[in-house]
Amino acid sequence: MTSDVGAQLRKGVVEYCILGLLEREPMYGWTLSEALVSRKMIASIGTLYPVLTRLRAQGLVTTYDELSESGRARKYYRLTKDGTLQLQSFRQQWEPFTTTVQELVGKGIPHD
Amino acid sequence: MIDTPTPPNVAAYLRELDAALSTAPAEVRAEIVAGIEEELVGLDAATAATRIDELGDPVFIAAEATGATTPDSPTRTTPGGYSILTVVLLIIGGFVVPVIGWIVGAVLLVASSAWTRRDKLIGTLVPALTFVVATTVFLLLRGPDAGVPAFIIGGAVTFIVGLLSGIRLLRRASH
Repeated sequence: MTSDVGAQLRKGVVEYCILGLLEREPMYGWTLSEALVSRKMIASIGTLYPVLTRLRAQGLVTTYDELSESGRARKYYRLTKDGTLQLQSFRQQWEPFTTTVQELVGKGIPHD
Repeated sequence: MIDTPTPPNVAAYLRELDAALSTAPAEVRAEIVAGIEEELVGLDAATAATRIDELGDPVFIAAEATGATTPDSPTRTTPGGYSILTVVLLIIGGFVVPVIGWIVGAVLLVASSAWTRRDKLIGTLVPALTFVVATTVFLLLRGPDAGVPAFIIGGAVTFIVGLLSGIRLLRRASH
């Protein structure tokens, strides 16, 4: 069993966190990275792009170019229909899953 | 749209990032470099420097990207035969076949995708400069007639530095 429990947990859910962020609004790489790094869901922008590439290959997100205020093109990521369905499916399973884990793990016995 | 010149720190950072990502899948490498480039290009040097600080070391970004691309692979890999041969030649190749043995090791190091550009520079320049500096200092201290002892002392110091450098390279080899 790995000693870094947090890293394993984050690895398991980071894709759905990205889908959740993109459901609210399309975002480009930098803003997605900032949102995830600030919440300690990823260590750096280097973790983000392989996941985005995977999500795009699976047809869960798609990209489009939009001009920024400075007139430069930015690549935006947005959720596809399949991505929305995948996120809904995750939500349905996540709550009962965390409840079950909480029941099994408990809150621990206080030690004086 | 008015094109502003790319500040040198941005160009250097992008080059370093691209080199560090040499072992990442081509698509991921291109996405990361393009994504960061679109954020940095157009900024003035000072603002870009702040962003670069936030982004962090390109080697770390590349390591994260490689780890995320192969999520089930262990973070630390065992060096392969090529990497071991390269390091062995760098450490003792120059003593077995003078100069040429080391050069073969250096060529293998530069040609390999198992190390970053920074590792390659350190792995070649540090031992080479050590030999030149150690030999020169000895000659300056003992005079031009001390050529043979200077080479022996220079070789001994270079061997120790090469050994430490080789251990570092083996630890940093990606395959």
